[in-house]
Amino acid sequence: MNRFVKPLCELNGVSGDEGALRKYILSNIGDNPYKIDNLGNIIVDKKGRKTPKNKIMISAHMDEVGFIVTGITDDGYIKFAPVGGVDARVIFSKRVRIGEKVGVVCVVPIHLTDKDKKRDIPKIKDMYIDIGASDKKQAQQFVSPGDSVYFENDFVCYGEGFVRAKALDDRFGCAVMLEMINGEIEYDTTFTFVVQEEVGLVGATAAAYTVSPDIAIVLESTTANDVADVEGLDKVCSLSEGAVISFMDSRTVYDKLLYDTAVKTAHENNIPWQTKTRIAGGNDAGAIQVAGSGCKVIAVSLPSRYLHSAGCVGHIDDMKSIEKLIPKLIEAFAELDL
Amino acid sequence: MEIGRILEKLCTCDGVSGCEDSVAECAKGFLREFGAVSVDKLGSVSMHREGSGKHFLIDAHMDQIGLIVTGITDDGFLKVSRCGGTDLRTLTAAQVTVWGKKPVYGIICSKPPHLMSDEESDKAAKCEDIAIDIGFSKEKAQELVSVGDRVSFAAGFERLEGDIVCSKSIDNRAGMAAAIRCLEILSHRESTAEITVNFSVQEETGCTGGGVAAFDKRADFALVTDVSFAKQPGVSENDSSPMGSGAMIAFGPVLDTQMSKELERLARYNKIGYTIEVCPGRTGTNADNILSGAGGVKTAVISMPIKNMHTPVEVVKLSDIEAVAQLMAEFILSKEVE
Repeated sequence: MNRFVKPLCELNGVSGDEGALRKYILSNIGDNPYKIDNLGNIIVDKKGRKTPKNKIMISAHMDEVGFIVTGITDDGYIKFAPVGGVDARVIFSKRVRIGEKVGVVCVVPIHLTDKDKKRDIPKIKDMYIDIGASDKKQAQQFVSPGDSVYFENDFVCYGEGFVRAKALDDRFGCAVMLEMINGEIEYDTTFTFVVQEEVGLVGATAAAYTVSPDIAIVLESTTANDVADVEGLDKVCSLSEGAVISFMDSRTVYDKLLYDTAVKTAHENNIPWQTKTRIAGGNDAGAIQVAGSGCKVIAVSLPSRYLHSAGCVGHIDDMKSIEKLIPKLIEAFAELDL
Repeated sequence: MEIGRILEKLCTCDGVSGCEDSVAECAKGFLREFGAVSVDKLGSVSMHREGSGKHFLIDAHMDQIGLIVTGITDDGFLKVSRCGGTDLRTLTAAQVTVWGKKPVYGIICSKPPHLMSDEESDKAAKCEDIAIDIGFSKEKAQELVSVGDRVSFAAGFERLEGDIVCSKSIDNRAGMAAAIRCLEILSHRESTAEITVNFSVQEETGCTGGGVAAFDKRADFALVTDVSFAKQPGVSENDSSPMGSGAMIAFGPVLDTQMSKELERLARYNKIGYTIEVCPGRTGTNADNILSGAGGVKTAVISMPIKNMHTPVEVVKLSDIEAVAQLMAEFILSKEVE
């Protein structure tokens, strides 16, 4: 597996709090020229063997979904709100970290729950995190409103080639870019590690304006629903069946020429690929496409189960497919007649 | 041993009802220090210490809630049923261990929020819709896992603030820790009591083991130690005791009122923290079967308050376990020559 995946997933960086990621990435880009913009995006210009006809940008986001502390109750419990699209069901009864503190999301015992409410999940605004503080004053020593709350960090390889990690969305994309920055590439490329994707594509909007590319490739994780009792097209996409090349999602209609070229490139190079069978989700491509005077966009994604939960799951074969495909796409897009 | 260390060792073992081998081995290790250890026909582990005084039985169940495998799908996912009162709301995206031919890592499947209707997103999945992702094909899954294998939460032991700890299966490893600690206390005091400790099986699936284990012991007094509800958001004061308030002494029609009163007197006299818990009918603990077995045994229930019962994030305060241990020891010392 790409050597950067595990360390990147183990860092914490809820949207707007990506400092630890920035530090790690900057220490792993070698001597390549870079700048950090006013929002905290990292923009790295990597020289290739040739200068392309079309300016190419590759982008992945550094942030992850999580929570933010909104207040502390008199008896020392932490109130919180989601940052990004987190499912209330996956947070209930899970462990979280706030700074160095471990906390748990409280559950009213099933024994004390009315019979007709035994499957009801409370709204996140009605949940509490318990760090073991006996009152407000003690909790305030460790936690303040505005602090980021993270899912517990467990990086697990299981089954036949599956990887479960917090923030695989989109640290895998960051890892692919770091590996390319540290290697040799055919054409000059600008890599952007952007902030705040999960709260509305904020970082990418600014970075794409600054870079002003002709073509942008967004590296992402996308929803795979290939779990038990799901058949056919409802799976959306499946693990170990290749890189996901999207033609459309809820936010973006991808450039037809780039889509067709990407599919052809995958075929010609025998790289496993698939597309999504449902128009769902969205990513930074939506913002990049319309930044400044606009550009052509495409997204290449890692199919991921349990997206936006405490840990999403990817497959090692798909990681390899994406790592093979992206350098080939740069070559295919560099001289394309747009 | 420090009570936190005892509890940690016990919580790190697994033993879903009917499959208590791992925790039983750990329990034997602790009990051998204090007397002869035996295992009964159902699997409950007992320690017996001879004495010229009265005979006291301490019961703590050693099993924990979990799931049981009921089938393997064509895609290699495991279908499950509940084993004990597992709270369905805590399962989504939970990490588990499947006790197959060897321990197998798994994740409970969940649909991503992007693909869910609003009605789905605030309800926990029904048990029949739950499956476990172990990352293997059906053939490989069948080699490793069989129908009937147990599944436990993979959720470690962690210290929160102060002496508050969090783990799976604090219900009822806290009771076991109290019993072991009680034996430790008594080993430093002069005592003529005959003592039996039963770590009984299958409480969570219907209080099966406790009554059987107690049957031929013919104790004069039975002390059943289990967990009860701590005060937490959404739980009324009437149903619970605050964390840190010490031992919960149960009063109710099926329990021996004189014993409960004596426990209360001893707590007050020895300045051991306590609260009164009222059980208006059967207690829902092993006491129900112990007290009516073998012609009847005078029985009391002493509990420690825990938060989030029957979840992977049960929370207990160590000083409450210590209070239960001390109070049981004082009771034995005060009644042994009566």
